[in-house]
Amino acid sequence: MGDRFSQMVSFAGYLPEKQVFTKSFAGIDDLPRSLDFVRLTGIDSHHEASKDQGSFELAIEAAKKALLRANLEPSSIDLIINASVSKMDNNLSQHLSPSYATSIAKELGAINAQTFDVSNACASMITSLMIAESRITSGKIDYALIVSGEFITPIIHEAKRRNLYLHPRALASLTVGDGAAAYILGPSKESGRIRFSEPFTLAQYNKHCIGQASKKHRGPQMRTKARDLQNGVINNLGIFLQRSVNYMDLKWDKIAHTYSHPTTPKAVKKGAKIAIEIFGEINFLHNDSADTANTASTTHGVLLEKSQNSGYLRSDETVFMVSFGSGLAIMAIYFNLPEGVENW
Amino acid sequence: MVVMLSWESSKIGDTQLLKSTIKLAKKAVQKANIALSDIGLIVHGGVFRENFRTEPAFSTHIQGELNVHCTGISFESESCFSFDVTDGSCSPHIALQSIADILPSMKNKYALLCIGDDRPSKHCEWNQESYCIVAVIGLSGNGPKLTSVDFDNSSLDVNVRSSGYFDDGIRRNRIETTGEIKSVKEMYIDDYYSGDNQWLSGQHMHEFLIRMNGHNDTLEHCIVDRSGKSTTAKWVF
Repeated sequence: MGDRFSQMVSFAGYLPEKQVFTKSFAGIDDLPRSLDFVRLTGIDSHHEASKDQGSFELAIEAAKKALLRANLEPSSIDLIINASVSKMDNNLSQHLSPSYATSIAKELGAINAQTFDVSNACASMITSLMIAESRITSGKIDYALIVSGEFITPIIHEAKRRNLYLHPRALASLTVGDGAAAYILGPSKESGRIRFSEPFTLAQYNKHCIGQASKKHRGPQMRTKARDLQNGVINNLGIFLQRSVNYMDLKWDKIAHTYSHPTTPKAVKKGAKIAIEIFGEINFLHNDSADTANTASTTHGVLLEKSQNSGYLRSDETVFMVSFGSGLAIMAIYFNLPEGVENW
Repeated sequence: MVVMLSWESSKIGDTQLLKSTIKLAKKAVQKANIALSDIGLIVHGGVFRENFRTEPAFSTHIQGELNVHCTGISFESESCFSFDVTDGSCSPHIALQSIADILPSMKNKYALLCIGDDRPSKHCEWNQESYCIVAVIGLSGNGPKLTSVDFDNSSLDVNVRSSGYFDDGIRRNRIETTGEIKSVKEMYIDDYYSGDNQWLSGQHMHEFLIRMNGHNDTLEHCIVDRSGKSTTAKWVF
């Protein structure tokens, strides 16, 4: 084992200003079987990009904030990985080639960075962090920026254009929001400041959530077997957590902050119940997505930003984040918070 | 870094990527003398997917069709992890790098490298030749060793880009490419090979694999993307 390791240098989340209340588009009269969508999901509202914003502009906001907090020049970044699922501009065109990270690097002035995109649905960020951590620990690079801007609320509008009585698999599209997140990783002489679980893809669930271009009009659509997908998570979560805590050599009661991918706040509560039954109480579960909804790959970063803004985070405290992505990817990351996080 | 233990490569139809990948993967795994259950990582590299699909990762469909560890998690169960990477035509090298980054930490020490593209829809202009490549990658063993992947963005023109958009005139999704593409032709000199920058990533890898046969020292493989950015993989035999 060498004496070079990795650490979280900074992170940032960004939410666009416009807030949209769930009741304004998913009221009881709008949905099949008079569903009370707010009660069912726990989502009160989400944020939506402005007319001038797409995935790119959102990503740049988070990336700039993360660079500022890390006190790093863009030219110091050796690797930029874009983890956005949507890669959608404000005109609803989907970026394909070259990598989105290439454009992000150009905009930031990160002239020395290798750039590429990782695609693993909502688990893209944690997958990207895993790649970056390995590169830093092996000594190939010093600093990596992992960034994502998710402009996904057009799927809400697509779903609303459908008859949801006839297309119940579009209902999950009403649970999303726009947002962005960025992380900067760098070298450390101390081991264990970032740890990953064994990553799992349970591909038997790979047809349960499909995102693609709408064939009828401009923009994306998503179709989800939400209950089956949630059951896939819930049925495997307990053993996944036990294996992960053991594999990552963690002490549950020493974890200061816990975040789960918030498909909905209600779903996170269900998952937390399983964890509590196995390990005991969670010190601080940040189940705080009632006003952000599910911002896809950026969810953990958005929630970390909220926690930081609320003054909950302190230097060196520990964070455990569980990530799920359609496919079905299940993985977790544990890290120590950056020095000075409380002063950002 | 990593070793390419076996590989299969074939020209395919415009919309046969998954079917072809599965067929080639089974052959490549057999050739590497391992079992499908030995696979712990599947990484797909490419740009274009059926109907501009964004999730889940294409590699999860490969894993599902191959039925690699598609079981619930138990205390003893083995695992496979799948994800996609993309960077235009340079995607194969990014996929190889990502495998080299992550495979050492996986319990199962074999990975599938899968490369290729699907025509998103019949309404998309498609002058490309589609190829599918599958390789079994390990940390050691007999085969070409990937020693490094370098990148060069000095000729990058960010105005050259492709996107998917909905054509309101025909009410269908299409591909739009903007910017002026500077042509880079195929070049093969001694221990250096670079393909035509009009090719998709699958063709880049297919043509390289053909030229790799017969080499017994080193071979550098450069992929230049239409945007001008490039990656170079160095292989030692």
